[in-house]
This record gives sequence, C-alpha cells and structure tokens, in this order.
Amino acid sequence: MRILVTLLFAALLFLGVWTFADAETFLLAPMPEGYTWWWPKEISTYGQDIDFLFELISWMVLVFFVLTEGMLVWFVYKYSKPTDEKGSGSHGNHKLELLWTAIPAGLLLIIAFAQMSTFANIKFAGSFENEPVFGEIWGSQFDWRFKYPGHDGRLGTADDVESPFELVVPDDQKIVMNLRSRDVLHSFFIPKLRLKQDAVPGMTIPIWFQVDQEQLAEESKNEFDIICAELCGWGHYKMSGRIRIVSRAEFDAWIDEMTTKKFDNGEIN
Amino acid sequence: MSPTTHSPTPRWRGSVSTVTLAMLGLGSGSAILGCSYEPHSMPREYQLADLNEVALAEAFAPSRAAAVGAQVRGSLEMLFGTPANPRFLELEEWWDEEIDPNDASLELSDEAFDEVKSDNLRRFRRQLYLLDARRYAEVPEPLYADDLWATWQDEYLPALLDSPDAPYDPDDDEYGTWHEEAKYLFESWYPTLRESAEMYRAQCLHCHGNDGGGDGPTADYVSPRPRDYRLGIFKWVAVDRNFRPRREDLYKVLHDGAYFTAMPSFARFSSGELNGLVDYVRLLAIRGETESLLVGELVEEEYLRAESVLENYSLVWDKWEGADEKYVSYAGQVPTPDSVTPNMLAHGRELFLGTVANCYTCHGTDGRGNGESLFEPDPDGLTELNDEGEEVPVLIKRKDEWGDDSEPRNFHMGVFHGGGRPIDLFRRVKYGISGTIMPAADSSLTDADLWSLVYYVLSIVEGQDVNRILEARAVADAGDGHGHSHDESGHDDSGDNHETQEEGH
Repeated sequence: MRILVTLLFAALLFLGVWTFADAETFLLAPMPEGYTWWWPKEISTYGQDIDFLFELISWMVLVFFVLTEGMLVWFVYKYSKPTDEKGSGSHGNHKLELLWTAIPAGLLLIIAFAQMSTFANIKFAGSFENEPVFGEIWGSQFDWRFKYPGHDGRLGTADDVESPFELVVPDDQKIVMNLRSRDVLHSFFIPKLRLKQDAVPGMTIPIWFQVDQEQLAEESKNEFDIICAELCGWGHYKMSGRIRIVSRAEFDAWIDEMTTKKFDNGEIN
Repeated sequence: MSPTTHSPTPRWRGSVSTVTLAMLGLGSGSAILGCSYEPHSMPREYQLADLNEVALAEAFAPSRAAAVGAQVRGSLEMLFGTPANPRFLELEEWWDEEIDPNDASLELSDEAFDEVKSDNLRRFRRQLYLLDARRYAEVPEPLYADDLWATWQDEYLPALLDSPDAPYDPDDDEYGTWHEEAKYLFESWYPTLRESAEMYRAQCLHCHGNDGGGDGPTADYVSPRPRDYRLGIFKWVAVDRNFRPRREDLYKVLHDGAYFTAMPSFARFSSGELNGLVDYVRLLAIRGETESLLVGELVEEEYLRAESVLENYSLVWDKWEGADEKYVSYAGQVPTPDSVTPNMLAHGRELFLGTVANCYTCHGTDGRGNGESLFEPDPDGLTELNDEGEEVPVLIKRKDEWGDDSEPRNFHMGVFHGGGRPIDLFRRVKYGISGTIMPAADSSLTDADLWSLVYYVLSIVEGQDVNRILEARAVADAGDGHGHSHDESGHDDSGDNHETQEEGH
C-alpha cells in the first residue's frame, strides 16, 4: 500500500505537468503534416539560435525537475514507514547551502552568457537600424492589422495600404516592422519564425526577421500562423493572423493589387 | 500545556492516501474534461426580444399574454425553424421562380463560387491530400461540416473503399469517377444553414446571442456593443441609408472585422464558411424583423391572422432581396492622394466647418467627435447647477436606434470601424450611417465637394502628413474663409451661402 500510494503521488507530479503541457493534443490527435511534437520546424535566419537556447534551458529544467521531484517522492516513501519514535529535525548546513546557491547561480550564468549574442542580434537596434521600415503591425482587441507604406515609401500618408489578418512579405529581404498597440498589452508571435515581442500601448517597438529561403523551399506551404501570446482580454483566443511569404514579384503584384483596391470605387469590396 | 504522546500512525496514513487519491482524481478528471469540451451544442429555442415581450405584456391581460407569446413563437418557428435546425419557409410564389432561400449558394455569383472553391482547397487540404493519396479511410472529420461528413460516410466512403475508379453515375457522362467526384465534393462544399448555425454558436453566439440580439454572455464587456441584428439595420454597408445590406456587405465585415471594435477579422475561415455565416445572420435578421411586425400587428389588432404571418414574412424578404438594387456605386474615378491639392483640402475644411455639411456640430471643430449637437437635454428633465449657479438641464449623448450612446468618430484616432478606404468614407458621408445620428449629406453638395470632405477627414487622421493640413489651413486663412476653391475638382457653388442655409435632418 505504501509503495502504491507513493507511486501514485509520483505519477500525479509527473503526469500533472504533462497534462498541463497539453499532452493530449499530441497523444490523441493525429499529428498534422509538417509538425513536430513541440515546435514547428523553423524557417528564420535566427531560428536555430532560439531553438538552441530553448533546448538548453529545457534540458536543464528537465534534469532538475526529475532530480528534485524524484527526491521528494523518495523521501515520501522513505519516511512514510509507521514508527513510534519521536521525530528529530536538523538545522543549518553551510556546505549544503553554498552548494544549492552556487549551482543555480552557475546555471543562470551559463544561460546569461549563452543568450547574449542571440539577444543582441534579435533585439538590439544595431542589427536593423540601417534597414528601411517595411511596415507597421497594429494590435488591438482582438485582431492584428498590417500597414504598408504604399508606393510613396512613407508610412502615415494617405496612400498607406492596410491589410487585416494577413501579413504578406517577400522572402528576399530583412523585414523590419514597427509593432504598436491600440489598447492593451499584446504579444506578436510567429512560432514558425521564432519571433515574439510584446506590443505595448504608447510605444513603437521595432522587430525584424528574415526568412531562410532554403528552409522555406523545403516547406509544403508558405502560410503560417500568427497569434497573440499575451492574455489581452476575453477574446484573446480569437486574436490570430496569418503570414504569407512570397517571392519579390508576387509581393509587388500584391501591393499593386491592394493599392488599386484601396482607390477603386469599391465594386469588388 | 502538556506534551501529547498519542501515536499519529492511523490518521497519518489515512490522510496521505485520501489526499493523494483526491488530487489524482481531480487531475485526471480535469484532463478528461479538457478533452471533451463542446461549446454550445445544445439545441435551444429562439426567444422573443425583450422589447416585444414587454409590448405583449402591456397589451394583453396576464392570462392571455402567455398564449399570445406562444402563438408568435410558434408562427416564427414555422417560418424559421429552431436554432438546431434553422431553415426558411418557402413561399408559393417562389416555386415558379425556383427561388430556394435555404440553398443560399444559388445566390452566389460565379466569381464568388470560384472563390469558395479555391478557399475550400485550403480548408480541406488534409482531406484532399489523403484523397489524392487514396488513403480514403484516414480522411479526418472536418469541423462545422456535418452534412458533408454524413454524405461522405454514407455515400462516398463505402463506394471509394469498394471501387474508387468506377463511374459515379454509369447513366450520365457528366459525372466522373467516384474518386473525382469525391474531390469535387470537398472542393465545392458550401455549408447548410444548420452547419452555419453550428459555427455561429461556436464563434459568434457569445457576443451576438442565440437570437442575434447582441446580448450574448460577453456582450456586456465590449464597447461598442455587438450589433443587434433583429432591427435589420447594419452600419457598414454599401447600400443606401436604411436599406438592408447586401450579402457582400456582411461578408466584408466578417472578413475584415470592424476595426477597433471587438469584432475581429474572421479571415481564417474559408469564404464558404463566411458566406454560410452571412446566410445565418440574414436568417436571424429576417426573423427578428418579422417578429417585430407580428408583435406590432398583435398589439394593434389584438389578434393575428394566419395569412398576415406569411404577408409579413414576404414583406421582410422583399426588403432583403431588393438590397442589390440599392447598391451605392460611384461611377467616377476615386481621387488618389497624388491628385489632392491644398485647395481641395481647404475646401473640405470649409465644408467641414460650414453649416451645409454641418460636420463640426457632432464631430467637433477639430474632429475629435465632441461637437455640441451630440448632446441633448436629459429626457427625464434632470437639471444641474452650472458654474454661475444657474439651473441648467443635464446633457446626455443622443442615442442611436439600438438605444446606445452615439459616438461620432474621433478622426485623430485614425481608425474607421467600417473601413478606411476613401470610397468607404465617401459612402458614409454621402448616405449617412443607418441607425445612427450620422445623416446623409445635403443634396446641394456635389460629389467633388464630398471628396474634398473625405480627404480633409483623412488628413486629420493621426499620423497623416501634418504639413498638408497646415498648407490647407494657410490657404483657407488667406482666403478669409470665403474663398472659392480653384483646384481641378472644385465645384463650390454653395460656398457663399453657408451661413444662410440650415440643413434639415
């Protein structure tokens, strides 16, 4: 009975985490094509760096999760034996305390150094400040809208082109966009490109990505999900979008079509 | 206090196993529940609108009100079915013309049908892929396509598993093999009203309510409030003021969303699904309007004639069927920003602040949506003391047809719920916005005048080119506010009469 209860306790700990990590989606549902059991395959130039950090941290967490929870379960089992002896406590052990302070500090330092170049590459202005701004991303409860400068190349003029839901980008350039919010905090997230950035009301936050053309060529489609990754209100789950990555020629044709649509007489809607 | 010496053994063991088992049960319970949650699939009845319930309760004695209410509900159920099985009643006069409102896809134009077809290729990508690979048994069930799935399982799947390359119909050459026809089944799928109602319950009901009354569970938390379809009035349309919207108008709102309201873009669904939702919204709107007419007749006549149910039904249908004829087209060339001159903007500004177009009275002189005409004295006669200690009536915002506060657009926000294209604004200015205090433009204003207004409004929009508006002001000030505009599109015949004309609306 003692071993059974302990095993059930252990199962609760491990299965519980798994359940909340949405295990049933890949256990019960058939896996759609092109998906792996965790992330979809990345197609961004900095996707590999993000994946490396993600895996590094995940493995660290996994090792210590198993270690600490294993110890917990072991102690539950070890000291569950009925006894009439009075319990005795122990208090204070400098060596132990040093150890469990130094190990996490060391791990945090490893993470800190490992992420430095990646963070700088993605977030620091140096990697995109010389590029022209490709467009604006506006988040509002509960959708994403994308604004392009139109033919005059300047944002904030009357020939700007607006696209609800769908972000269309060419595959041959570094895309720098300004991320803005109209109301509350949102988070712009393209899992396929490993791009995630909070949108903060009142702030204009530049983001950038570049599609890896070789990796894109291996994909069976060119449309990927955009979601909101910050709980932004009751309709958060509805806040989605789509990125369509096309060739330069297709993109130019699309911008022309959108511009024509903006200034036609609305027959087509 | 004396130290206790009891043995903890029995209680201790008991509590560990109980707590552990309870937690285990909770964990697995929530995991199972998490897998099988089904939103709002319970069939329910359509209810009468609150306003109509009240009207009936006031007109009839309590003993009769319930019976009369049931009569209206029964009539409506005959006409429109139930939420679980919605349908239109076919009228006899439609039979000869072969109009079947339940088969809405017949109304789709060829282009729209092609669009549905190409979007379905994406929606059923997985199904079509497996069909191509001839792995028929693995084709997964799609969402919101009950009828399609039933046809697939009952008719196509057995035939495909048996002999996929046998002709679908040996007596008719028009059909291909079962394999080809199965592909066509998915490519050209168009949801039935029942399937669209199912989708409506999952995607729209939480705001727009079971009856389309804009009173779903989340409706109280969004501003502006969700549309109440039951009046048959929709704001973001390309038809004349106070006429019913076209299918394309409703489709556009579904596809693009109403920007900066809680109505998001639903572009992630195929055009077949969106057109199906349009059908169902039309059903709810037509149902709501018919209901109001029936209740109105009951209150007035004290009884409901059997034939008047059908009369009212076809009356409402006529309005919707005639929507295409009320389409507002603009035959000319829409001015592009390049063709906009400072003179044109100056003319627009003059009109905006003038008494013919009268924009400033609601939108405010600087376009912030806070003009004086927006307010009216409180109907209950409430008063307050002003700064000088005088008693003045409390001012409240004027209401729209749905009873909500009017909110004239603040142009500095740079967002327009019904679309920000010049042609969208042109339509709003020229024909007003149905159900709101935004009136149609005065008939003395020419199209060129309206385009000046549209571009003046666009120039106020936040983030637009500030220099243009400064230039425009300079031009207007130089002319001392009375100058005619001399740009290529200026037809300012009414320029000098601004002060003497009053717009009646």
